[in-house]
Amino acid sequence: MTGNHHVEVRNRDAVFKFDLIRNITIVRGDSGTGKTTLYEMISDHTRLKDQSGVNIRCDKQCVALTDTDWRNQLGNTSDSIVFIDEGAAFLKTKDLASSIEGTDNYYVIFCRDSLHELPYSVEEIYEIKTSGKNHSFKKMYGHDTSFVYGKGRSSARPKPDAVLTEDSGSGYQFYKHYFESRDIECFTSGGNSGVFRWVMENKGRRVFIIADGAAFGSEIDRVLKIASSSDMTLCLPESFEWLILRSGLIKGASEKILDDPSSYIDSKDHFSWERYFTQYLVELTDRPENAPFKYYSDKGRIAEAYLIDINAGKIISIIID
Amino acid sequence: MLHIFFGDMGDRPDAIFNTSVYFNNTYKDGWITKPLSKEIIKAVDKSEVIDERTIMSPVFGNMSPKKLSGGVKTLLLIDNDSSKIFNASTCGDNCAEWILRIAENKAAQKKKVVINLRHLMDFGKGEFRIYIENTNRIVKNMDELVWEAAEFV
Repeated sequence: MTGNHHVEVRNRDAVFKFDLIRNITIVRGDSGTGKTTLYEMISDHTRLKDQSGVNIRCDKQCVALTDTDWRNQLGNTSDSIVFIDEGAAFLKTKDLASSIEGTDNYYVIFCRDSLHELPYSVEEIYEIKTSGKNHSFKKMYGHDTSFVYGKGRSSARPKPDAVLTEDSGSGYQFYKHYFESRDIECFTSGGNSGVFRWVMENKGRRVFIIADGAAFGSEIDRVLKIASSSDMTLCLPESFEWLILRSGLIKGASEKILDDPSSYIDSKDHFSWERYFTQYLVELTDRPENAPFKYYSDKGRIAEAYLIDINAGKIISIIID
Repeated sequence: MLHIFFGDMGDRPDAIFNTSVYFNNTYKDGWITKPLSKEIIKAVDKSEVIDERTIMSPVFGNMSPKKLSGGVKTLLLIDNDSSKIFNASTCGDNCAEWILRIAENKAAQKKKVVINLRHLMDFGKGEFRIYIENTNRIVKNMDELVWEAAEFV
């Protein structure tokens, strides 16, 4: 499935209106805002369709995944928006992650737990806002124009004494070269979950953390809470490859795709947007006109052209003023 | 004092994950009309208790206690059933003050409250005393709680 899908769910008591942009959307927030009500309305409609009295307006079928027979139900569901309630015991299992990867559905999951098995974006975590009978989704985490989340947004940030990136391949090579030439130490956490561990072990350091927002959803809550009680800044652009594509260095990088990824990234082919942007960058830099910027999919190294100061500056300027 | 076990509790028979279903099948009418329950229902769900079987909701009108929010159901379970450890990650941050208050009330009766959290609930800017079951340490504010418990969620 691709694209942005508007959903309206209504009955005599409540109206929910929201838009879904990526394959995985997480809904959490305060109690009493209507999460269970929305799930139950979808659930009633799944069982009884229009005879439920629940009215759903959406260009895709909306279904609720029930607890007992979820694997079978999922196996028979395609091109749909699937809603999963927080009471589902299978939510944190690898089984669920492997079952939904490669499907052409979008998923809306009501849950406050961090779902470490799923690569969901920090941009697609919402709470429900209520005004009378009307309910809508509101993003939980905001960022400034430099993709800095939480404390420190839109304010002058002092020079860090270290940079941490979750990337251990090309991104790390790039950031290490850029920052260490400016006398700032650069470290890799070796993955998203490693960010938290590294931060715990380096309390007190003034650290600028760079991670892929496209798949950092399960980590943002605890890392932001740690960062808010220490001197750390959390910067979450879509991905390192997205920064390169956005920098203007790569000929043929489509503005349409970068401005509206949802319309081009099929959930069946790419579990998260970062994977798409990696593939897209590899394809573009295979072309002769982009030969100096050849991007290696194995991520073992990075082309020299990226490290030249003027080019590196174009990439870095997207996240650092 | 409030005791919290962070993270997955595995197959422990006293751990209740789906608190909504458990509440619907076990709650007692008398729980609903207790003064503290009325306060909780008013504060979190913006609803008034009419009697033990009827609650007036601004959204649903007259409704059964089974239509209360997942957070309120969990709070009522924590307050009234000490035989289980309930998954309080079914509660939003707007339930945190009530969890602390329930624990205070129980402490006055020489009882402890144990809950399970799978996320870092925000207990606010004030001071408190919470016993972290995973590490057997007491934390006194959110900063301490976050550093002590974040690795388990």
